[in-house]
Amino acid sequence: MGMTKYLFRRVIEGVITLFIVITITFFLFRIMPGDPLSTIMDPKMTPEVKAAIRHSYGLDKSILVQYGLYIKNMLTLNLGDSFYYSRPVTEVLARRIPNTLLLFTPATVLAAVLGIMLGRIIAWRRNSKLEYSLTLVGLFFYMMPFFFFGLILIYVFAFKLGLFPTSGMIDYELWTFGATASEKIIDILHHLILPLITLTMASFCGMMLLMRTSMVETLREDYVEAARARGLPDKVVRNRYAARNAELPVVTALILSISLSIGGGVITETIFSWPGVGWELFTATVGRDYPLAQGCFFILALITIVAVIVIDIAYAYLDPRISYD
Amino acid sequence: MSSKLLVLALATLFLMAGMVVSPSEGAKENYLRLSGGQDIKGINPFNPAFGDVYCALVKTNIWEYLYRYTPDFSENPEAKDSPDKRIFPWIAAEMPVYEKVGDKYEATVKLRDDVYWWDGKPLTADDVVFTGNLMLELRIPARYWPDWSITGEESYVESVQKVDDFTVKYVLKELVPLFQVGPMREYIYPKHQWDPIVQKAIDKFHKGPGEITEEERGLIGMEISSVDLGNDIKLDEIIGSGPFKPADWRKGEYMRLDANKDYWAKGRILNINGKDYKVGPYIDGILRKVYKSNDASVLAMKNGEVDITGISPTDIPDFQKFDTMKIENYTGNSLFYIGFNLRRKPMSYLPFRQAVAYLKNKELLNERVFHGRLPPIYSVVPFVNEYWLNPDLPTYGKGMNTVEREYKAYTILKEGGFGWTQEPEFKVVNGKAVELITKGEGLVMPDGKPCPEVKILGGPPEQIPDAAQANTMLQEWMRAVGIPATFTPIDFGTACDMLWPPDMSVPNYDINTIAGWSLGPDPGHIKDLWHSTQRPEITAGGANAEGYNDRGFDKLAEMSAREMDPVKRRAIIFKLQEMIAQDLPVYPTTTITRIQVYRIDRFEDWFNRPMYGISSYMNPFGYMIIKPK
Repeated sequence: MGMTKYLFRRVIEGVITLFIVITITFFLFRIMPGDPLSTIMDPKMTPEVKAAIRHSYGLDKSILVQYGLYIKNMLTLNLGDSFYYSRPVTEVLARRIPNTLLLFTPATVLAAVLGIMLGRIIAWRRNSKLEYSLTLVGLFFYMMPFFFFGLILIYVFAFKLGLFPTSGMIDYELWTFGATASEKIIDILHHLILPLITLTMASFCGMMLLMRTSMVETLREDYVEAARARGLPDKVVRNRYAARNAELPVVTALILSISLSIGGGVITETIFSWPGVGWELFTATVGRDYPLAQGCFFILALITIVAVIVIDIAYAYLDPRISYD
Repeated sequence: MSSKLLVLALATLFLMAGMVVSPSEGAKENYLRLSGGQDIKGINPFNPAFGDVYCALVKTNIWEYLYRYTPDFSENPEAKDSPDKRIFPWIAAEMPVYEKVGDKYEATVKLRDDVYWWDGKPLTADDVVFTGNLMLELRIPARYWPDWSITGEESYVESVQKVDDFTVKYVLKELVPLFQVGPMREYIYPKHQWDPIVQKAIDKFHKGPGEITEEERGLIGMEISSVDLGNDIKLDEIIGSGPFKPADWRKGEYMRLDANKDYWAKGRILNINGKDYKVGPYIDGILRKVYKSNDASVLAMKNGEVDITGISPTDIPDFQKFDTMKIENYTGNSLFYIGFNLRRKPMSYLPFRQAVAYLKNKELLNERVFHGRLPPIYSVVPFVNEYWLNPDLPTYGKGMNTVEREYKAYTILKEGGFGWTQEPEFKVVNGKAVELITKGEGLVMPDGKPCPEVKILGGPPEQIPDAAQANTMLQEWMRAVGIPATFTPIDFGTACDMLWPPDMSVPNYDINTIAGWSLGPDPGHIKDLWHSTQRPEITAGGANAEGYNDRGFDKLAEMSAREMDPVKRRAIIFKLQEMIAQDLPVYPTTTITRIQVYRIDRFEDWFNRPMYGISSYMNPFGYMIIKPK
């Protein structure tokens, strides 16, 4: 099987996974107790008005008919209208997705790069002070609930030291009274730092410790010893022989961490009032805004599936034993 | 080497970002900065989804009423014939003049001739007639329809007619107080902005020359409510008459309202608590930022990012350290109660309800659990609404300690025909209970059957821990006298569906402590909540979850909706409160005290409106008179 066929197969699998996810989320929200329109319908409205509202959202139809319509609409990327905002879900999410990507992408990359890099270094310098201290720090943050870590960052760096904003993505005064493009970029970066650190820490420590363990085992392998015996420089032995093989389980963990970080993203975005998809998912779920919550799940599932496919393909590059055939 | 460089680069970035001076420090001095707990979903006044307090804060600064309640709820001498004397003219020039013509009534409303829309056009009778006809013909905004119809079907307003440019005549089939506190206190919309939108929606959905059908009405309403203010109509194209104009809106982040420098009411005198204030606005505008958590808004207040926010009692010591801030409370016009499902036993027995009322030591709970935040009430009209409050109602155990209450509950149950497999035993000294020696068990109802488990619906501890603790205590007090009570934590939405089933089935609960109401100044809610026609299994959306069904009460409640004489109406309202306090379909428990902290170094003349506080949508006057320092 060539690259194209492999890619095609992975995309098909991804679409099937996505279909399963959206089906589960559809029925999951339907079995939740409560009337989704209770947040927008005033108890004093006449039955006719209530019926018209219910009809306009398609909630007067049977659940199977609703499901059929939902799948049909999904094919055209029509995610319906949000109950809460009374606007198309795509419109609401279009404003949120860039914010989430802005937070997720650097957090994932940083966690992976830093985790692999530091894990490699401390494994190479086994029994050194650096290894002890970084392992201890890694374990400490690995065990710490990261929402708590986020709150500590807010308290220390935003409140006590006043170095960063307490919440949000922008300084509302700066933006509303006019700011240059560069001021706006700096402002967003300024707001990004604390949530970024929180979300990065959520997976970085685990990756660093995993990389360390994997690397320590790899260093005992015969081919590494052989490389050393051949008199190759330490850096070459470490990076080209030991680390490359040790990275494979870390990359697997990275795939899993992407889906796990969705949960982390919801919490991080909520703590920092970061107006992303996770923040919207939380609000929509609590407010029983089915279309919006389903839309959030859809987008997050899509991001995860695409990321998994990309990393899957990258795997073949990292591990010469894997081929597309 | 490369790793060291990366770490160095990250550390530098962190420090540099930290050194960026927060622009908040250079705040625009004359903008009042508010913290909001929720996003503003939308500001289309016809969209039923945008009826919450957050959206209302913006709407109330855009569109205005013919009449308003006085800022401090003092009586207006000109309103001597009004069913509520606290009302005064705003867009109207004087109080309405009523006249009986045949078997109908005519209410003539004179408008001020100096009220202008933001685009410079005068607000005239055409706008008022247009607004009235939206309700009569299309029943929009839907949430106000109950103000136009006592029965929910036909309106008591027959027509709204233009007499001249600044005079409007309402033809009424019957003269009811609701007219004055309802339709006269609803937003007036500019005809020249909304009429084309309305006509387009009618053309789209109304088939044929006949009258608009119910179904068409619903579709037309939905079409009009789908107009996106901010996009379909740009913010600077919205036409209002109020003191602040929406200027910038980043959904999920903030909204900015700019002061209407040509506000028609500028310079008008408002008398508040005996002092005269000239209407502004004096501030440049209002900036409202969304903070999803209370902790975030409290931190923002401390950091100087906002000028006012709500805090909890535990935050008070922190804020007392700031001499630039002031802490001020207000007690809201909110109603919380124990609601009994009268369709089920043992709740259908009056002695049972009385016993529970005695057992609920709300004074103790307010002091020990709620730290003074939920002051006790004894009427379904909270004490903050002094004008309508009947002060002579039974207080069910006020001043008694827990044992005395338990003994009283036991006595009431026993005298009411209840029995026990093991009767509670008390140590009584000089006729006064001093100790519960043995708890009661196996309560038997007057019909000889064992009392079933009584579930107390309440908010879950992870969401409202103090309320959950109060319900656990109530459960234990009830168990002490043998009532098999169980506190059942439940989320609010699910509880609402049990109390008011959307499918019009019979409400499915025993005792409700979770639902409460935020009330308007008029006590019309007594009829709306407990008239027998409002049982949810009879009327879709009916609020009478308790199933209270008393013909005498119904009759009196209907009289309260029709009595125009304020003195007589007050007497009826007093009697209704008495009937509820005696029949106990609900046992009123608390209202709510909110704590606000605000900056006194930046602004002065903060107005803390009774019942609604400083930055509520129910206090538009506050924004009109506050001044920068």
